[in-house]
Amino acid sequence: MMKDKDLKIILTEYAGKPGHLKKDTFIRSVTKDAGKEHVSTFKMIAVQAGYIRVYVWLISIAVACLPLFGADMFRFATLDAVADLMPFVAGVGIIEAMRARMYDMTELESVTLLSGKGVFYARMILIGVVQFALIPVSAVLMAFADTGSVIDHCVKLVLPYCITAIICLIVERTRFGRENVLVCLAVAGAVFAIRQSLVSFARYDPGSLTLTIAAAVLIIVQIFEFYKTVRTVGTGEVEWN
Amino acid sequence: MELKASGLTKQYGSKTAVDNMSFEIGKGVTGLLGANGAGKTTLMRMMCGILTPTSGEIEYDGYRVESEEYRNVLGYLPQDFGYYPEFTGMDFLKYFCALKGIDKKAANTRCEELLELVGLKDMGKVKVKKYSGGMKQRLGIAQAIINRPEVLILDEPTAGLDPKERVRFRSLIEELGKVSIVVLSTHIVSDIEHIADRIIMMKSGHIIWQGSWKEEQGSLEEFYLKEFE
Repeated sequence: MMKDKDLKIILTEYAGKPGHLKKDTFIRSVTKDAGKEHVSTFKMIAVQAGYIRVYVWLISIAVACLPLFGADMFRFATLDAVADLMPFVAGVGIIEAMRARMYDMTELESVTLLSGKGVFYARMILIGVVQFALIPVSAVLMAFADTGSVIDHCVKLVLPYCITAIICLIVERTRFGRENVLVCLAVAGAVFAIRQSLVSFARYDPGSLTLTIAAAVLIIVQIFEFYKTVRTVGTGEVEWN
Repeated sequence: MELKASGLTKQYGSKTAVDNMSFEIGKGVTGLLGANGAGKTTLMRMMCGILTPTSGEIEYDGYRVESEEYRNVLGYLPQDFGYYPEFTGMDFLKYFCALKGIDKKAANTRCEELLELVGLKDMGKVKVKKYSGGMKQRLGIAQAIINRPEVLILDEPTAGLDPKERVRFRSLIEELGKVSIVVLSTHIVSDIEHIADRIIMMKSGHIIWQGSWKEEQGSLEEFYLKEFE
């Protein structure tokens, strides 16, 4: 029987020798400085900005664009339309931040300088900040058009956004959520449906102060849930084989 | 340059995947040999700081595996890995350059250099989803060495490679072992027989044999098969 060593020689001859010269040059350069630089939080976020898909930005920008064009063009209730969009804005944002899990990139990202946590943190901060910043922009535009209160408009957009985001972040920490990243869309759909039925059938108006307090509490809860989720990224217990 | 593990244990519920393992690994190629389910992947994930040990610890020259200093010198090729569908081979490598803190200028040269090294020079602009299994594996190895790692951990790196690629791969690993710590896991004896300076044989989460295999000791394959009978 042919020994493996002999087979190796035969195969090497058959395959032809690899580019030894180039390989040697490369190997010799291994110990040299690889051009590595310190990755600050800002750089970490900036790096991820280039890797967030366009549709996430488009759906986020729609929050501000609908009040600009929607009311005039379609004559529909702009506030309701934007509020209906908010759960999907939140859901899509979290799916994007958790993208590594969907495409089996978590392990590779975890062993980089940024780490899996860092990547998730950077993406979430970036998407979250942009989406949150667009809420007051949208509210100002709508308040200007219908002479309502900016705070009331803000609150009505923040509530479905935060509720969806909080539920998604909690679900993402469960095994079911880890295995089904798209569950965030289902959560968004459920929040949308509940909001629709509340708008259609609810007669109780909690008043703007109560809603404002609820929105403020939800923002705090969302920040808390975000940090809780960041802590779990990369520590998921992978099933034994 | 030393990777040191002491009393390393990992339990998944009632299952113990790695049981009280201790070892010291220096520069060169260390082969982790064991059948499927021996605990190799779990051990490697702990070596990379991806999994937290139930007890025990791993250090590299005094740095904990969770530290940024360690991640800065670490390269890892997991058994299975994915890619973002819009990525070309070049995008994939550039992404890891960015995550590993390699500046843009150096990244371009580095990526081209690596694509050529792994024989994917002409495939750099092609989407990774169009790559064959062997090509993906070669791209995986390229990302693992992109930061010029001092510690290179390769989980079943030759899986999916054809015989010609296997030989090239082994030769590359052998070369890398001259300047860094290379730990490579496999269940195929021939993958490490001729290139590993040291072998750690694992069974059911335990080390059953470790050391340098010398030709006078006979056939490693026979010894390995006997141990697993």
